[in-house]
Amino acid sequence: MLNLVDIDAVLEHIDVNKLLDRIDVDKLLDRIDIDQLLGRVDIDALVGRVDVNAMVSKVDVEELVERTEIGALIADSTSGVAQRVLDSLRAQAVGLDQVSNAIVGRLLRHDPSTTPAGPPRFVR
Amino acid sequence: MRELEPEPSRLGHFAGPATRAAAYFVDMAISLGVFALVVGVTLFLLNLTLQTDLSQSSAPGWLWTTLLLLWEWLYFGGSWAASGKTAGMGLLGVRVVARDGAPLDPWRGILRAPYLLASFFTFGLGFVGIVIGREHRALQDVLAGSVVVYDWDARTARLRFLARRPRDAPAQETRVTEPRRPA
Repeated sequence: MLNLVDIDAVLEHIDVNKLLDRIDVDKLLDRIDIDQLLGRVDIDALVGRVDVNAMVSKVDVEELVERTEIGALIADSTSGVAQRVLDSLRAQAVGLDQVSNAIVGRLLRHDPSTTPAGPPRFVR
Repeated sequence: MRELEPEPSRLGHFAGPATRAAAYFVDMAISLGVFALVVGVTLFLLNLTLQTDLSQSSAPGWLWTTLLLLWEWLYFGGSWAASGKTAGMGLLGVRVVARDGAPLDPWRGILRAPYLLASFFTFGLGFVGIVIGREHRALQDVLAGSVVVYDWDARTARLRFLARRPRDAPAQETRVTEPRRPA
């Protein structure tokens, strides 16, 4: 019997929106047990599919530190003058290291892509 | 929103010549200062207790040289064996590790001190590798199987700098630009 009916033709005549308007969504949701539904979801597998590194890389940490209370917390914990002097001294030395490395690298034609940045345990 | 360009951490990267030279000069200042202080106090106490008039010229030069070399060995070798860094290296944020990045074997740390002396005996040629080498290894590094790496996180330091800056202060680009190395 069903073979004689053209289902597609019948569906074409149905106004789906009108049909949906007749559904009481709130009542439908009330009948759904969210806990039971969540119990069927493998959260670990779901979280495993999330690329946390990619998400974190999109966060502008520097902007966050500058604009939020996190900055104040960091400043409170490391606001010593000695720390400032130390950071400044080390940054200057590292800057000079980079200038030296750049000059030598250019003179000796070091290929940056084949020059290791550090020991394999620290830099992959 | 500005483009994201996080400060490279540099933690664990090979330390360059300027940082290592600065650390060395700090170490020499500290070790020579402590040696002079200990010698001065010792002579003072000896003169006080024995009622003598001893001075540095009272002892032969070779004795002072030997004592100084032993002290430098103890200072550098002991520091590298104990923690992989001297006071100067700690100040500049660098550390000696094995070539693969593992903590340096204490014996290698102790032996690295006389190897450092060997770098001087080669008229400074032993230090050339720090400047031109891909791994910035000096003669003492090659002989001891070590490398010197940054033990200091530049990115954390930058965040500290940003955190200390007043909120309404104009943004200042203080970072050192460096082409990002491929991971």
